[in-house]
Amino acid sequence: MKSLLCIVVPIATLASSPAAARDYYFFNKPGVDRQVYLEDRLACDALAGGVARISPDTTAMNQQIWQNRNLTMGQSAAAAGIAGLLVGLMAGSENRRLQWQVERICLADKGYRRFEMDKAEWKTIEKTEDMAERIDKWFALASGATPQGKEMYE
Amino acid sequence: MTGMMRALLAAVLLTLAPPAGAKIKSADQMKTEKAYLLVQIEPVEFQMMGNNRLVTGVIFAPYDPVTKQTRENLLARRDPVAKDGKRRLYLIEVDPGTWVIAGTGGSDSQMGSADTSFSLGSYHFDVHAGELVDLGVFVPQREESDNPDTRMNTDNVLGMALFGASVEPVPNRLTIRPRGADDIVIPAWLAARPLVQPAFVYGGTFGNNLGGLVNRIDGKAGRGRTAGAAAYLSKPGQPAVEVPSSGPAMKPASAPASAEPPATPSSLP
Repeated sequence: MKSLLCIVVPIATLASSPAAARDYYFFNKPGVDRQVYLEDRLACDALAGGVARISPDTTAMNQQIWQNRNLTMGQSAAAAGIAGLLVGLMAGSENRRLQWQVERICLADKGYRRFEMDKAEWKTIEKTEDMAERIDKWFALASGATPQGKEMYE
Repeated sequence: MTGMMRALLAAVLLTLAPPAGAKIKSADQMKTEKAYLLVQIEPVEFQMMGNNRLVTGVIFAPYDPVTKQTRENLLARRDPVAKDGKRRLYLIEVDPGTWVIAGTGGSDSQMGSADTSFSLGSYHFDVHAGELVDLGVFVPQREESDNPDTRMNTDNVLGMALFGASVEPVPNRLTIRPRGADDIVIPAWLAARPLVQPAFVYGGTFGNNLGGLVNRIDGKAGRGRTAGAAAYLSKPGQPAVEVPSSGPAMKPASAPASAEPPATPSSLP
């Protein structure tokens, strides 16, 4: 069975290139301070921004890089990073999914829960041109005592 | 990936011309101005059509606890000094200083749980010149999720194969335990040297330099845990000791900061 997995999984992984389907949601931590909320979002955005080199292609490629006996560890890390940058140019949707996942993990770590919201409402907020006003809207959702909508998994 | 991309990658790799890292095979090769980390790494296990065990590497990085910055990573993945099946015992030469357990990487897995940066909170420890530091046994594990898309079940895998769906990756976490009687035997030439027990200090945070998923080293269970607590690896048969420091608490997450998990009797969470 394991030999079957060795064949099926890599092929299936390499063959699949799902589009980055967008969920619509907001994060909530009742009563969170506005400054704390902004700092938390920035910190998690920074971690999500580190996503660059995982994709089906880079997973396989990283193995080759990390296991290349002709490279030192530092060179392997550098090569993996550069390779990720190249592949990242082609794997935008996969990276976006990972970035969203990093954001979810990071904010959950900081005590936020995630709730579904209406797509139209989400777009209305995102289209708010005044940045301060847009932040106010997201913060109102984030700090609300009784968030509306179905809670989503982390 | 396109041919052009592959050509660019090949050019990059050629530019990084390579002296091979030498495996340490005897005490004579150990330098007095360096420190050495001894660590056993267990494979990642997961259930999918039976039990699967995947060799995974662990990444260390020099760390500044004040600026929260890491420097160039080292990966424990190749050239073990001993092995037993998919368990590996590594001896890693490092510069003296403060090091952090930065994450897992270099796995045989295609499943996406391999590259995890412990950016949200990890252990750091100090090493000094001439020391052989016994880090114990590292047990990396998948951080399972309630997200059904992450489950390694038959439906999801067949969905990948037949319909181009994807199994969402999960991050790893890592448990540390003292070396025991059932673990890999330390080679005689190494066992003759004194082993130093490290003091692991919890709460080191840093950027996502590995480019993949993130987690705490102790996963969801560590949320709300106090930063700065020092944990000492016990010798087999002796309890671990965890000493909360007066350092700042990490921000509370799902649990209040004061609800620090109790020290475990024989391992670090």
